[in-house]
Amino acid sequence: MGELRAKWKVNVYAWLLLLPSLIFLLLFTFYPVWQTVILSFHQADLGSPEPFFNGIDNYKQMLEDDVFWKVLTNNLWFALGTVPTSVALALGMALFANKALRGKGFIRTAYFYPTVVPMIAVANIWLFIYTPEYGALSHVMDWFGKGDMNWLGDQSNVMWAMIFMVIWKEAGYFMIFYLAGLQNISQELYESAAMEGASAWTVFRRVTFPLLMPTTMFVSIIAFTNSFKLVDHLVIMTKGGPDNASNLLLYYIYETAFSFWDQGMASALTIVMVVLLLAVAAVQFFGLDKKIHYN
Amino acid sequence: MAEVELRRISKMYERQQVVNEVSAIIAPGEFFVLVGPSGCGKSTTLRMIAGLEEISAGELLIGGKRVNEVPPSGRNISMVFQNYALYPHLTVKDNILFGLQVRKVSKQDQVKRLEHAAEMLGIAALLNRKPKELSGGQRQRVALGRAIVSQHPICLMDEPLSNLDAKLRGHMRTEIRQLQQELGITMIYVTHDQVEAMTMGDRMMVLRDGEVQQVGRPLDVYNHPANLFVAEFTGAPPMNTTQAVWRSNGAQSGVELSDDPSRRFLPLALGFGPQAGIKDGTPVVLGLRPEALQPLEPGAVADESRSLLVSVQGVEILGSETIVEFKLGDKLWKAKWNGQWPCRRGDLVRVGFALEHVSLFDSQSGKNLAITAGREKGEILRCVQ
Repeated sequence: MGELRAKWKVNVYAWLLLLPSLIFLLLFTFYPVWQTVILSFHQADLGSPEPFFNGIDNYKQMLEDDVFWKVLTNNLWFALGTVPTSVALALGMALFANKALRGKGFIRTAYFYPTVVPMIAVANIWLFIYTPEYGALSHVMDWFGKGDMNWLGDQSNVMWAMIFMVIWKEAGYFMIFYLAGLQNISQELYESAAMEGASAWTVFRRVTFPLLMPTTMFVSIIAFTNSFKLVDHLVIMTKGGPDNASNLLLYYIYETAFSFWDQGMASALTIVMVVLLLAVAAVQFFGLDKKIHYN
Repeated sequence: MAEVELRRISKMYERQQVVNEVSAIIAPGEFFVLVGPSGCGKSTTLRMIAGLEEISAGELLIGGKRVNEVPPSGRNISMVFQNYALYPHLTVKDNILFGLQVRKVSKQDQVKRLEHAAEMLGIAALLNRKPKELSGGQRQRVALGRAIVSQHPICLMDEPLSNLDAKLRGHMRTEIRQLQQELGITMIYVTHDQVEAMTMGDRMMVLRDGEVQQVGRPLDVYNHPANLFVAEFTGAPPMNTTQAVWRSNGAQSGVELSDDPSRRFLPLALGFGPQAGIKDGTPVVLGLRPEALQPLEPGAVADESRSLLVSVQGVEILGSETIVEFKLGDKLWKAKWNGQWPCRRGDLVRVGFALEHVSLFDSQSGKNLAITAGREKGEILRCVQ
């Protein structure tokens, strides 16, 4: 009896310690998630005074919605454009910043700087850069006789403009993780490779890169989720235009919920996005993880 | 086979002199040990030989050729690092073959060398494991395996045993020594442990603050330390020392112990004195190895001049030997006796010593003042028996 009671006491104590964060998690995470799931099976737009259950109608509609498909493809291209490039760039920057003998601190700060600037401010800076006719980029393009390009107003340019900006913003952040990863690799390994006469490329390919794989894995997951999370710049720069050419899934959810006031559809879209992210993370974690060496 | 020659090699960091004009000629097939306390420049010297550190001044010759500017891979050297430097993501096999793959040795040759090394080291069953799954001793063997397959005539080792426990360390000592002899390679070995230096080396170089203190065969260094530092660095426990003054009054010459309240006088005629050119009144340091101080039977006629009546301060009975501590002046001395001696603190014992075991050092420079001529012969005789 006494033993059971002691066990109880320990358990109660543990739960009490967990309680504060548990309350907030339940209130602000689990409960809204649950509500979103329920709402996604309801019709809840301006035309229905009370939300009512409509089964999987929202999801059916979604599949027939051209904008949804446009937004989803946009987002996949956006991810494809930003993730590998920013990760590769971050790795290159980290290798350089780690090697630099002089001005190490300056180089790191310079690379990291874009990360510290709020996205809204970044968007404003780039808005100026991309402005047609008198923007900074137009001035440069003028020298090549192409000063009349409209970066944000042209359907075929706008996505590239966004991708470029986001890479600029994110690479410095990922570099920090790579720098930490590089610091964890023992100097002896490089010296041993030097004794064997391995070239810089061989050392990178056979030693540095494999040992940085845990970092690469982590950073690519972050980069991928970021590519779905990022929405601030659209609000400032394009509002998803022109003609949804730069619209991304999260911004579309926002529009559906708070411009078109279709809560049910917005919930359904949210569920789709969450499932998509989970699926990709699962592939990365359970598929690639086995091939990675962890210390 | 190649011979390594260091010609007045120095290393400067900014303004700090880390290694100062170290010279040595290391013969082919020799086991050469660099030994000294931490920060003495032994590892830096080794890294300069390897090519991992630039040589600030002096010349390094391998096989008669100057190699100062040759990159590490061009020096025909393999190296075993302190933490083994095994690639954690590669299997034992890939770790061993890494260097051969880099140098594009043919696949057949790789397999042959791998099998040979694995058999030699007894790691054939571990080839598909990762370093994480190996014990310290096994990792050490893999690191050795890398050196073996490279077939370089020179091998450098930087404190390779410091990460192992005492028992394994003793085992690996003999194993490395055996391996070196079997392969006939030239070994340059860095350690801070004088036991390793004594037991493994053909010759050893004692370093301190970047300066060479003494180079020689381990026994010669032990028996005839060039200075006080070497004397106190070698041996466990190290040599006992005390301040003294040289007295030479006609017929008798010897030392007066200055730390001793009764200012005991020990006559030391043999080999010392006029021949060594020590003047009367010169401050000296008297040194005696712990094993040179032996207990005298209570009944035996004690020669006052070659014995000390001391009061025991502490006793360590190690089973096969006993270490007895006593105070001489304000210095704590240790005597090492074979067997088990049930002494107790406060006991009065008489310890005797032979004249030829006494060392005298200049109290200023620490240099060994005299080495008796007859001693070396005696030592060699005993070795032969």
